[in-house]
Amino acid sequence: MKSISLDRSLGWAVTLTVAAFLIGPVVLSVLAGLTKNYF
Amino acid sequence: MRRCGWMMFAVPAAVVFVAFWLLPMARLAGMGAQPVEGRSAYWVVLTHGAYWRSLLNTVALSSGATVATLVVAVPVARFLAMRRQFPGRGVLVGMLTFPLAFPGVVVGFLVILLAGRQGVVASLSQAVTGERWTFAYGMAGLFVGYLYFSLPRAIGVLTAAAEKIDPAILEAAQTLGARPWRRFIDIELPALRTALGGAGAMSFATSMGAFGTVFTLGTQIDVLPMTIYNEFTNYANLPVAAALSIVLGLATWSVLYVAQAWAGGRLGGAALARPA
Repeated sequence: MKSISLDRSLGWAVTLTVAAFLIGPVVLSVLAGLTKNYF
Repeated sequence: MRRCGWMMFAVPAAVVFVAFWLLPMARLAGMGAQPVEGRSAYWVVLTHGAYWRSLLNTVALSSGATVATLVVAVPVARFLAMRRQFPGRGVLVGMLTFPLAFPGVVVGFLVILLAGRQGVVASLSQAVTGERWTFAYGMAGLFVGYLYFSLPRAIGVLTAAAEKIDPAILEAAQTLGARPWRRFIDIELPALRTALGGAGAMSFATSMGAFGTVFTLGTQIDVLPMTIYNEFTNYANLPVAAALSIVLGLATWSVLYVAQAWAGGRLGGAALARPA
């Protein structure tokens, strides 16, 4: 039972981290467009 | 009459094949055989260390990005396949697949926003350590770009395959006392084998030929698409550019062939796209 819980927790952690990695730069891009010239 | 009907269907396919594959490839291969400084361009490419280094860099980077993509995508695919319904699943899947819409140039731009001179990593590292960390303009930045490019595609393919695994088999194995790791190795991994081969081949082929991301991050990155671009545009060395293109194509095809043989499928686009 404990191992299933660990499996699910790891699944959540990895999935949310990957989602943050994939969507984070898009959010940065939107913020960059709103605020300053990054170059 | 029956033979004539068959020919009517075969002729358009043959014309398209000859016009859009055979003739351009024959022209490219022929151009690579033209002499450069008295020797065939293929010989020049195969005997110059700089071209070998460029090819090895490309293969190593693409292989690394492919392995990292699969290692990260498998747990995500398992998670999405096991949890079909929960609040916010649609949003999460949308976030995971959103970068599919971006071309390579935009992916390069996003890597610069993340790890460039004015990027978020540089700002955070300066706040913590006093130094600005930047890794967008070299191999590390390209690796992140390839990962960014490949992950949504691999997650899509692997999730579709993982959803086809019968939960009853996993439950039976659990009832018989198999630990999660054992169930993953003995049941899930074999079931995902074809999808892993397809996703890996797709990731590797995309990384080998990616040009927009490299061009955005910096023209000094030593990978084969950039070398071909430099030979073609900066030095007008068409025979060497053609020979390098053939070498790039052969290297990619060879790795895809091995991957498909391992996955138990046949070589070709249909096999790559075939669901597990």
